[in-house]
Amino acid sequence: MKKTLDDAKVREARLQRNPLYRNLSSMDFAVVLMSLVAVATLLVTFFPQGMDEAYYVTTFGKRLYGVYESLGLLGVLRSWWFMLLYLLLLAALVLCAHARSKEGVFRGPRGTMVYESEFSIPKGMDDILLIFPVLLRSIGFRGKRIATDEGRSEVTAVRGVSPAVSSFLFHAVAAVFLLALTVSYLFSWGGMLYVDEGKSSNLPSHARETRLMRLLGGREPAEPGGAGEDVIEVRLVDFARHYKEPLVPWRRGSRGGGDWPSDSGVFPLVAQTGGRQAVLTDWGSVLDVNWRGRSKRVSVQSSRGAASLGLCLSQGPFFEVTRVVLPALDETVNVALPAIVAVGDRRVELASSVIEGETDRHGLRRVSGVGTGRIRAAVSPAGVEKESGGAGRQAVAQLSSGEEASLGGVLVRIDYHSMRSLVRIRHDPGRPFLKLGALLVILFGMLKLYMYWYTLKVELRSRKGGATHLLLRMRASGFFSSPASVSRKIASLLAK
Amino acid sequence: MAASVAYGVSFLLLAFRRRRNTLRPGLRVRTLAFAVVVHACFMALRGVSAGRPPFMERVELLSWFALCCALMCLVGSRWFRSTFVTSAGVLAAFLTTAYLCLSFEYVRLPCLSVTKVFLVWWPGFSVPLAFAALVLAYAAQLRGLPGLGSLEKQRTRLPMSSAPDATAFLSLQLVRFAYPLLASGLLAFGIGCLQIASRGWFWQRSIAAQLFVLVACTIILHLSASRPASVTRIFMAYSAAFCGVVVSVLSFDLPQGLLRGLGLERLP
Repeated sequence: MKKTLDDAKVREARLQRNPLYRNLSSMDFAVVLMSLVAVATLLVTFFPQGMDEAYYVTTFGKRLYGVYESLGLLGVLRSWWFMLLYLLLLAALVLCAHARSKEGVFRGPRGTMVYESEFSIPKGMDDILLIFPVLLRSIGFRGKRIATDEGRSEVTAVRGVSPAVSSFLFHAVAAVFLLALTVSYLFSWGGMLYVDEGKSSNLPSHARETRLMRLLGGREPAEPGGAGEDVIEVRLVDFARHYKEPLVPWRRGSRGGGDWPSDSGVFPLVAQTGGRQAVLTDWGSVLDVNWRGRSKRVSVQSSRGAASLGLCLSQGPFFEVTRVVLPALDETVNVALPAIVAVGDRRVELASSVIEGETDRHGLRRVSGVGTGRIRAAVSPAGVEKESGGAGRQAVAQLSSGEEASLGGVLVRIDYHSMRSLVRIRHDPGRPFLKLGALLVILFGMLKLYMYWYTLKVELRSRKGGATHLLLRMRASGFFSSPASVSRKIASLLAK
Repeated sequence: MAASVAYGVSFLLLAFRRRRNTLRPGLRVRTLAFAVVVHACFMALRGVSAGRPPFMERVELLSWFALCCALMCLVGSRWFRSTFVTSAGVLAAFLTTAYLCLSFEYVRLPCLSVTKVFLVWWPGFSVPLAFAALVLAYAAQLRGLPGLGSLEKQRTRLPMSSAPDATAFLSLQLVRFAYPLLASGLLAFGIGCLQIASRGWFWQRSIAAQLFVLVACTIILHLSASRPASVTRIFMAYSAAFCGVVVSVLSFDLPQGLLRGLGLERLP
């Protein structure tokens, strides 16, 4: 047993003498690394990240774009030098926590003030020393020690959450969180796919490549339909949109700004039904996912993703797609609504029709399924504005899939009409640890910074007349610490 | 605008108080309290009309930041024991609301369900609150600089402690208050984006500046805990954090990347 302990002490001493360990575990080195990380985040602030090459060439010019790209300024958080900083910081965090736990320097509140107060009690020192420990225990102090000298005694005690424990826990979970970020960065893969209602779509095989594989040179693409291909098939079973009547109607603001433009984005946000306004609040898909011989039905919403078969699925934008046949042009056009098609000197406008459904006090019933929604087709002479006069020259019809109509001399037939949903699929082994790590970092951070910790030292001296003079010194840390009130409480309890 | 005017009046009352305090402190407090109540009412109305928590848009974030500055001054003025710090907070509230009045654009984000998700609106709540605390912390640091200490006689609740130590302690306490709020805001946003759009943090300018401020606060906490504590380095770290706060506040914006991921491409 003694030999094992001696070996451990020798190993520890050797570690402390190791210059690499000493430097990596020092606070100065950690502060320098954090300063460099701060400089890197400054670069993220001032250089737009992750945009297209065309955007950077337009903004900076081709030459500067090349320089910035080679220095990694346009993708700072993915650059090799930031990864190096990050790994060094992770190593410093682990070694710092290890060194301090071994040396026991996670102790005592630092960065604190010393609170001092003095008062006298008309009681003998022996009487006070009898009741003082009980009194301190009653208000939550522990670890009491009493040292007595001639005519003088000293009482020390502590109260609250030990900074040694809270600091170690916080740094440990911070290290776990950073490690989870690394695992997520290196080993996750994913992609997105468009899937029409009632149809299936497969995730491309190149989406299955992790960042680590790319760093190591990529992997061999599998033969389509071959034994090496591991297909993820997704079928869109149902798609739903949810609308709600706004409390305050949608309108234009007086300064020319206004509420969110109703045609912002790839789908309309505002719909009309029965003369009432409805604003899109949510949309979602019900999917059948098949992977590795297993099948599961999941529901994803724009506000909430889902996890199934080891995959994380999330809802992206949606499109209303239609195939329009124009016999006059002998053409078939595939468009996403809303769309405008030129036919000679005519303009064919295609848009989602009014939302069908009953309104109740909670909003509208959902719209779903192929064929239940209709398309509004309007034909007008080309160049006519959408004003009141122009609208009068429009020929309008509501068409469902398979229907046709002659509008202003133009025959329009809707061949196909469906909802198309964008679904993102991701496989991320680090995600559960990320969520847990984030929660624990916040909890232990609050514990370390908010919870109080008091270190109390009371010096007692006998005075003439049987009184005792007390000099109280208290160090406190934590946002919720209040040394003055604790001191007043001690004084009032002693006086009683 | 009413709140902005009230903040301005409150700041003038604080800044130009007479030495003998012939202007009763009650008037200053009442003016500030009136401004806070009016401001809070308008924020609540905005939330009700929008149908979601009012912590998403640029206007709402700036407004909440100003309200946090004023609220902290109102609630914590007895604890600060420094008119300089309180005046700085009220001045920040006034400047922010005045800027909003001058550059206000009526734009309302739709009440999408995603805007009601806790992980999406919590950053809009916690980060401006943390920034307000950091502004006051920097004011306390400035207050503790040699030279400024002679401007007024400071009273503290901590006997036998000098003015510079008291202001350094106040600054540190405010950083301790702000740090978990700032960290939780950043982490919540990242985890929320992962859950909703399967993509991590969208590093727009405001978010990147928040990360910079978080790192600066981490440096402050570590430097304050080390012995001997380097006052110059600590002050530089506070200055860096304050600059980061200014950049982030000026570039407060919608979570553009998240909304783009949902298909809301054309933003006003």
